[in-house]
Amino acid sequence: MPVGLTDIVQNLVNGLLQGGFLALASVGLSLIYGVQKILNIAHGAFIVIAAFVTIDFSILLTPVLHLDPLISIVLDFGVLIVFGVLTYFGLIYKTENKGFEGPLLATFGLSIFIEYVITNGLIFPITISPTQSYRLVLIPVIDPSYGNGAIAQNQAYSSNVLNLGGITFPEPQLIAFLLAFLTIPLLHLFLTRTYYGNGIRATAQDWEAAEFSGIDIRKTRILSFALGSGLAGIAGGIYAFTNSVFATEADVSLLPLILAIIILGGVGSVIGTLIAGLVVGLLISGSNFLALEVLTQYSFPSDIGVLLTFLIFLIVLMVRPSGFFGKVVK
Amino acid sequence: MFGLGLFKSSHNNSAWVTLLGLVLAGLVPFFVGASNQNALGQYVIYLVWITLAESWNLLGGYAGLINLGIGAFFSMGCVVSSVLLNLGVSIIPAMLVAGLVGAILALALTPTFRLRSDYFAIGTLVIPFLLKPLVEYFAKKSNFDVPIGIVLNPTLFYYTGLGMCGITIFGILLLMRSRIGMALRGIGDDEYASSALGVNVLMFKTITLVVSGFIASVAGAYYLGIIGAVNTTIFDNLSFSLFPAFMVIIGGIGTFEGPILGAILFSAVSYGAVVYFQGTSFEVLVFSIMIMFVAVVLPKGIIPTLRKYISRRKRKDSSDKN
Amino acid sequence: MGIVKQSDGDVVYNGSSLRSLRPHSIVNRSISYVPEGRRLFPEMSVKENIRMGAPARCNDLKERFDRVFLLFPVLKERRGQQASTLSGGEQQMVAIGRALMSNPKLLLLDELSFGLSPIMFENVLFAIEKIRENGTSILMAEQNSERALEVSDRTYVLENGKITIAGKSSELIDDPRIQTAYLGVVS
Repeated sequence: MPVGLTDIVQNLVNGLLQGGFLALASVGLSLIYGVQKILNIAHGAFIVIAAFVTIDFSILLTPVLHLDPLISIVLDFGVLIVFGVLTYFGLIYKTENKGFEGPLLATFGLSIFIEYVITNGLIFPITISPTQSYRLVLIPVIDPSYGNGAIAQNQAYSSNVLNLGGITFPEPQLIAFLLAFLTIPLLHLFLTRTYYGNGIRATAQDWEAAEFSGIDIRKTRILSFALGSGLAGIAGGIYAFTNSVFATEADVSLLPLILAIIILGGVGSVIGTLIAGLVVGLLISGSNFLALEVLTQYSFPSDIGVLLTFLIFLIVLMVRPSGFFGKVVK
Repeated sequence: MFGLGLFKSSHNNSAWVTLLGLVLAGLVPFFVGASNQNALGQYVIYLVWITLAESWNLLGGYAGLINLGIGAFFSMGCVVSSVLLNLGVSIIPAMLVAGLVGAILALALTPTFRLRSDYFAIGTLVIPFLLKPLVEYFAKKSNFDVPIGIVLNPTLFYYTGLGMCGITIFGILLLMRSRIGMALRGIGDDEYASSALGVNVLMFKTITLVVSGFIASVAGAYYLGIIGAVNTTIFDNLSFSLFPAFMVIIGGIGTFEGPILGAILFSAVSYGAVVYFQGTSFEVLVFSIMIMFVAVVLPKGIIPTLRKYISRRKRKDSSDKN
Repeated sequence: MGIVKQSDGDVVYNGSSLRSLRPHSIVNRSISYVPEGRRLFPEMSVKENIRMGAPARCNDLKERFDRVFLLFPVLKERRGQQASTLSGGEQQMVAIGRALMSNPKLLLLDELSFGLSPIMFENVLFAIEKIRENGTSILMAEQNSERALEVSDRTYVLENGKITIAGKSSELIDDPRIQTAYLGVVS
């Protein structure tokens, strides 16, 4: 199949747009893991929560209050910060000092809990009309043919498309990309120019020394966990913008990829994670394109992009465990 | 009894209890009806998870190598078993060959030992995903079925599983009581100290991985008998990688009873609750809340917490006497 | 310093117990600690490291920096440099500077001479003297007994966690017990 220049560029653009989302999705976990060495298995679930909040917002509130769905991103950030703090005090605080198993198990349980609640709703249904029945807080639009997962079937934003010289930029993707490119430098500024941000970095590098220096470790950990969760929230909102169909199982498929990106970018390095996310986005998009549309004579598997990412991830791990931007650790 | 006497007598108690449990389990077909596939079918899945949990505990509990990719061996075993069964091989040889394949896979994966512990965990997580295209490439297909002609006698199948489970449990027990086991515990406790004492850490880690991989692959081969047909998407299923870890964590990492207890509890709640809450998926909610509860209240697992409680009571009793 | 929980006894400072305080609260009570081995934040600059010693809200941050840079001029030159690239002596200065940013009344120094060449150690000791002159009390846990005895007012010898010898340093220097055990003098 003949491949034109526009196809290639389009593909690269798509990859970058996707990469922006991946970067944002990963940077939150990078922060949490960097400070506390805790793997929040429910991070993917956090993203999905935010996605559904955005969907609900655009289905419920936008028609009624005529609010731009972009505002829901702020809501996502806020909701997930609250969620993060709750999770920290409920699950992490008690278990963080007793070995890695506690938080791992607890966040695993949490991720299942969240999946269940989103899929089935926790509060009772409200029937508005014979054809519309909702549940109070989370309103998944369930497609029965899919089985158990809740699927959101409305695009949270518009389907406007920007056309520049033959390359299409779907408006939601573009906004998502811009958001990522705005958030991450802001995060970097926070981490390097404020006392609390620097406190997070210091705690991540040497928590005992941070304590000796008078930094309140407990507050720092809460802050990083809350912030990391909030960032997941923003990522989730973007996810809802850019995917018209998604299921609650998305959190499971995202997590290995996010882990790979975190390590490739260097744990705790925000800019590194951004670049790693973009690179991975490009890699996935590019290799999918190459494998499935250019080199069709070899039958590559359909998720070759992701697989290639994992392979490179393993290789990088073996050769340079601190990732591209992390510092060499013993 | 077995040489080094490392374990306290309480471990011997548990060993006898487990043996008793296995014998009782062996009597189940007589009560349920030898060809009652449904009833026996419910129980065999426990055997698979116990075996898998034991395999994870060997690597992650005793040797301290937290690995989140044991699903690679499991899925590989499943696929190999399907190929062999299609070729007319019967189940037990198929399981053994699958185990061998798992052992070879383990050997191939030893370079991952270079990774630091948390990176090792994350690195092993992605290995099943990478195996999938390899398998598809060499097998030139992605669906592996057991031909309908091969009917696995339910009772025989059940006993095979029981045997697999029992051999695994006591095999590991013997291993841990041997010299090899002592070295493993040393490595698990403090790798650098062990290495300074002259222990060939790499060799022992390799042995552990090979044995663990063998067991996990055997379990996977057996699993095929339960599901009948397997697709390469089994490699994408994180449950086989993560659940054994959680089972052992719940039961108690590095203990004898931990994997058994954890696997049974975990499976009982997830499978059993389905029956209890028939019609809804409510059991998922209960399951998740229970996991969070165990994680917060019993962070070291059930068995260690129990042991601490018992020993504290003993100390209190003896100090009361004094 | 509050990281290892006390098992027995009490630590009293200025009449109040420090027993169950968390480390950052101890720093708030004007006690600062320079850890064994420096323990700088490796990927942060000299200036950032030093900044972290000061409280979150600090009205006179610039003045505090100035005081530290006056004490250690070389740090002012290298203030943008990453901490892990400094020499041992410079790192020690950063660690001390960081501890000073909280305006402590009591400064705890753990194994100050560790990894330092004798010349470097002298430089640092000189700075410590100045700090003492400015009104801060110094408590040193030190291997280099000879110099420690020479620069300090009082000395306490710890054996198996108990104080076995205590007294004015100027007198203890001539004490035969100390001379054989710690100064290598053959009597």
